[in-house]
This record gives sequence, C-alpha cells and structure tokens, in this order.
Amino acid sequence: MIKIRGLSVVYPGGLRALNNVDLDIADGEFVVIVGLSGAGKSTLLRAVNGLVPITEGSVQVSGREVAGASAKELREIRSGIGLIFQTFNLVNRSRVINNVLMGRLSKVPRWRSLLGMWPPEDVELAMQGLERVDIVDKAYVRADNLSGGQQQRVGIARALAQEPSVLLADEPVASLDPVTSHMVMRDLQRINRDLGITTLINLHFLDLARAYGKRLIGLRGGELVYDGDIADVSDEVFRQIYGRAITPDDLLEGASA
Amino acid sequence: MVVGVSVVSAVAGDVAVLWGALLGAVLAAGLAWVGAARTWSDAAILVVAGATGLAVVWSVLDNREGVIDMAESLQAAVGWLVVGAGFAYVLWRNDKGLGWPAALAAAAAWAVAGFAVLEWATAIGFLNDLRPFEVEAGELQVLDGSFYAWTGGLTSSLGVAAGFSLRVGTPALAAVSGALAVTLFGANKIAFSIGELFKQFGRFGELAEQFWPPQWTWSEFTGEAPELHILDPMIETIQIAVVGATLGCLIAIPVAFMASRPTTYNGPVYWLSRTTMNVLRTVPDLFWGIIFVTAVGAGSPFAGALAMVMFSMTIMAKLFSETVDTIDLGPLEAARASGARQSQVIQTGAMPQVLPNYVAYALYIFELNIRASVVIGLVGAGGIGLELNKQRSFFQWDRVMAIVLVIFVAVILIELLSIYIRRRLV
Repeated sequence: MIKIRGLSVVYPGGLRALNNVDLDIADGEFVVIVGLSGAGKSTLLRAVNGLVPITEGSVQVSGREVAGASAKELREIRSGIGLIFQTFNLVNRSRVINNVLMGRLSKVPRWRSLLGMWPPEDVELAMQGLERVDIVDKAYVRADNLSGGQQQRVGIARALAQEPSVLLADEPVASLDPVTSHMVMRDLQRINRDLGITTLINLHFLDLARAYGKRLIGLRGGELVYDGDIADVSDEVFRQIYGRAITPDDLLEGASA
Repeated sequence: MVVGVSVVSAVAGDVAVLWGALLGAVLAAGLAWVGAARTWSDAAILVVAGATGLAVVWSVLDNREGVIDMAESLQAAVGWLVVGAGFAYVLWRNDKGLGWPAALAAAAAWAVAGFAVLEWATAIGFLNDLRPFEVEAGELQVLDGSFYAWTGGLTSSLGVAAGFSLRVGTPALAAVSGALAVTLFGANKIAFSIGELFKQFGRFGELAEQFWPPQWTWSEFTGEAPELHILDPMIETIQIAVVGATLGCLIAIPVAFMASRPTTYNGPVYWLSRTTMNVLRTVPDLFWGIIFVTAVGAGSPFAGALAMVMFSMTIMAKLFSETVDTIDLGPLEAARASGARQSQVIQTGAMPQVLPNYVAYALYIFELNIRASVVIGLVGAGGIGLELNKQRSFFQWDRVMAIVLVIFVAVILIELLSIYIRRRLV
C-alpha cells in the first residue's frame, strides 16, 4: 500500500520537480506512469524509496513513512522495494549471479556480504529469480557479455531477489529494441500477476502503456494530471497529459506505424 | 641605412656599434620577411636601435673591472632594452592591433634575455679571462668575436621569439623564451658550467678504474675469510619492500574510498581524509626513513618497513582515490536502492569496477618500494642501502660496484615478474 499526500520535491538549485502530488496505490496494482521527459516521473519513483530527498509532504509505503526517515529506517524501507533502471546499472565485471545477489545485501549480515559467503538459501533465491525471467543458463556469465535485454532481465532478477512488496521500474525498456521491450513488459506483467507485487512503471512509449497498463497516471510539469483506468484512455487523454499532439517518437512502433 | 651606420661608427668608432647595426639589419630583414616591417624607416629604426643598444652594452663591458657582476649585467640589460624598444616599436607601428602591453612585454623580453645571457656568459667563464689590470680605460678592447656571436644570437632569438609570439598571438613562444631565460638565470646561480664539466671529465676517467672489476666477496673483520655479504642485505631490502607495499596498499583502501566523492560517507569525512592524504603525500620517502630510524633505531629493517608502509599508503591512496572518482555511479545507486549499507555499496558496487586498477597500482608501488628501500637504507633503515653506504664511506668502490650490480639485477627481475603477473591478470 503506497500512500502519497502533498508530495513536493524541490532540487537544490530551485527546480520544482514534483508539486503537491496525491496518490494512493493498493497492494498488487499494476500502474503505468507517463509524461514528457522532465515531467517528474523519475523523481516520483525515487521519492517512493527515498533516493531523492522529499521537500514537502508524506510518502508511506506499507505503513512506513519515507519522508524524514533515518538512514537505518530508509535502508529497511528500501529493502522491501525493488528498483529497475533504464541503464540496467549492473556491475559489468561481475558475474550475473553476483549481480543478482546484490539484491540480498540488506538481508544478510555484513561479514557475509563482505567475504562473499552467501548462505545457500540466498543463492537458491537468486537462481529462482533468474529462472523466473528465463535467464538462469547465464548465471555464471560476466554481466557485460550479455545483450541489453538480457541485462535488464538480470536487473529484474536482482530486484526480485529482495523479495520486495513493491517493484519500481524507471523506463525499463527505453534502451531496448521493440521485440525485447515487449518481452520485458510481459515479464513484469507476469511477475505482478503471479507474485502479487505492487508494480509502478515509468514509460514514455504510449503504445506500450496502452498494451500493458492497467491503471494510468499522467504527470505534467511535476503535477498529477490524470489518474484512471487504461481502458478509458484515448488519444485525447494523452494529448492532455503531454500538452501536445502525439508524435511517432512517443510510440515504440512509431517508426513503422 | 648605410649613411646611418657610417655616421654612428664615425662618432663611436668601435666594433660594438657595427655589430649592433648588423643586428638591427638582420632584425629588419627578418621582420620584413614575415610582413611585420614594411618600410625603410622601419629598417632605419631597427638599425639605430641595434647600434645604440649594443653601444650601451659595450660601454658597460668596456668599463668593467674583471668579471661582470650582476649590477653591470643589469646596466647592460638597459642596452638590450633599447634594442627591444626599437623592435617593439616597429612591430607596433605596423600592427596597431598589437596593444601597448604586448609591445612593452616584447621590449622587456629583450632586456630580460640580455641580462640572463650575460649572467650565463659570466658563469661559464666566457668573460673571465680579462683580468682587472688588462682592462685599460680609453683603449679599444676587441672582445672575442665569438662572444658577440653567441650572446647576440641567443639574445636575439629570445627577444624575437617573445615578440613574435605576441604578434602572432600564440603565447607558446613567449612562454618558451621565458622558460629559457629563467633557465639561464638559474644555471648561472648554481654555477652550472659546461666548461667546468669538461675539465672534470678526465678525473672521472681515473675514478672509473677503481670501480672495475667489481668485488663480490670481502672480509668484514680481520682474520675472517672473504664472504658474500651482499645477499642477506638484498633479501632484507626485498622483504622490507614486500611488507611495506602489502601493508601500505591494504591500509590505503579505506582511506582512498573515504577520499573519493562517489564512495565517501559525508562531507567532513571527505575533506578530512583528502587533506590528510595530500599532506602525508608531500613527505619524501627519505624523510619517512629518517623519522622511523630516529624512532626505532638505526640499522633496523623495521624502521625501513614502517617507512615503506607510509610511502606505499600515500601513493596508493592518491592513485586509487583518483580512479574511484571516475567510476560509474549506476551500480552504486542500484546497491543503495536495495537497502544496502554504505560499506556493502562500496564492496559490491565500487570495488569490482576498480579492482584491476588496484592490482596494477599495487604492483607498480611494489617496484617503487624496492628502489625506495635502497635509498632509505642510506639513512640507516636497513637493507642493502645500509651496506652500500658503508662501503661507500670506506671508499671501497669495487664493492660498491658489486652492490649496485646486484640491485640492478634485482630491480630488473622484479620488473619482469610484475609484467608477467599483470599480463596474467588481464
């Protein structure tokens, strides 16, 4: 359960990235967030797990308040939230399995992670995550020897290894080709359905949003301008969110459309 | 121009003025060739400036008593300033875009260069051969023609370089000529003399005979059979280097992480560790040796090892922290987003990215340690440096040669080992 009230984020330097956002997300929901670049999508996502400092308002995740939390509390909150990045953010020189095990860092004692002596249950959990995204055969391959789509799936597995209650994905498919993008979106959909993890995804391809989204949130200029079911979303709604007509750049299949 | 020269030479009647006029003519031709001087009046100005300037220089030299001292060099510099002023004026009148600061600088460059060259000439003994009683007032002294060629040529090129760089707008030449002037001045001050070097060369040859053949074994005490005394100290030196490099590089890891922006804990920690690192880094390795020898006692390899620990630590911390400053921040953010503590973030996010660099630095620092521990042996921190110093103080050059050869071989072997390891790791 994510409860956001009056959330404002102002970066040092004065940029008001989010302005007075109110949002409620129930457990197990699959939410897609769209908006122009700079509309505040990344900021919103990172405000949920406290990676950006919250200037005003409150963000509660599973009953715990993120705004103003201490370092220790933040770590505990974050350990239940998985974050998937547009640029994958894997450790290139490490093997896939070690990258996925990074998701278990908050759950094991410091000495174990420092020495690389992971408990077998954690390794098993990591393997299960890899299996869920269908990449377990690459477990001992170096991360930079994988393709983009494979690397993102490792990123998903890493997030899953945390056994999170919330999954955040910041433009997970922006660096991928159309076919792989669909695969990754299907994986995220399946994970949400099978494991019941609350999922928030930033997208800037509108056709993907329409294809896979259930609930759509539109941000514009740091403000929430749309919140509704994907079925009710028309091109007119997108135009309202974007403040301009839709262009082929906004569609994944835009070039061929 | 010819008229000008004959007038001047009729009045002064000496060689310096002719040389000065020639200098002016050469400058005029050069400037005309590059288009910085266009008219005969430009040439006339340069010739007059050259003649007058060198006349001033000459008057100083003529009136000296023996070696030229700095005051006289300064006075002579005024003469060069006249030349420079003419040069700068011609530049300026043909290119009004050249501001007066630049023109002033060109003139000043001549004066500075002239001063520096005169000091240099004194230092290398060009003008030392005229003793006081040989200089007679009023009598025509024709100095060695090569003197004029040398100093004239050098000064001219320095001044021209400075002027041109200003004209063309590339400060590089001015910088180079400035650097040359500073070098000449410094060389004069430390009595750097090429002539002196050649004189000493013969002596060096005699000395070289004492170094060869090297003496590998000798007796420490009377009645003792000659033994190989080199091996143990060399092994001790290597051990000092190994201990120093290992401990120093290990300690440097947390220090480096604290002193790098991506991985530091907070502002104060960052500034404190960076400042400490920069301060400690300025201590030369020899000084670490002296500190620890004083603390622990002379002849003790422990002192040497401690010194090497500090030496290695400071170098590794600097190199490593600069590498960590450039890492990709993405994996760090990912680790932080999963709820990891800072130490785990560093361990899993940062360390794998920089590990190859760390190993390369560690091997390099080990090589440095070998050489450095020889040096600190000279101040009594144990190892082969101590032995080397001992034999040197007894003037046993053949034994010194043997020790030097052993050190040489050891360094080469370790260098090969280091290359091998580095290749295997990549």
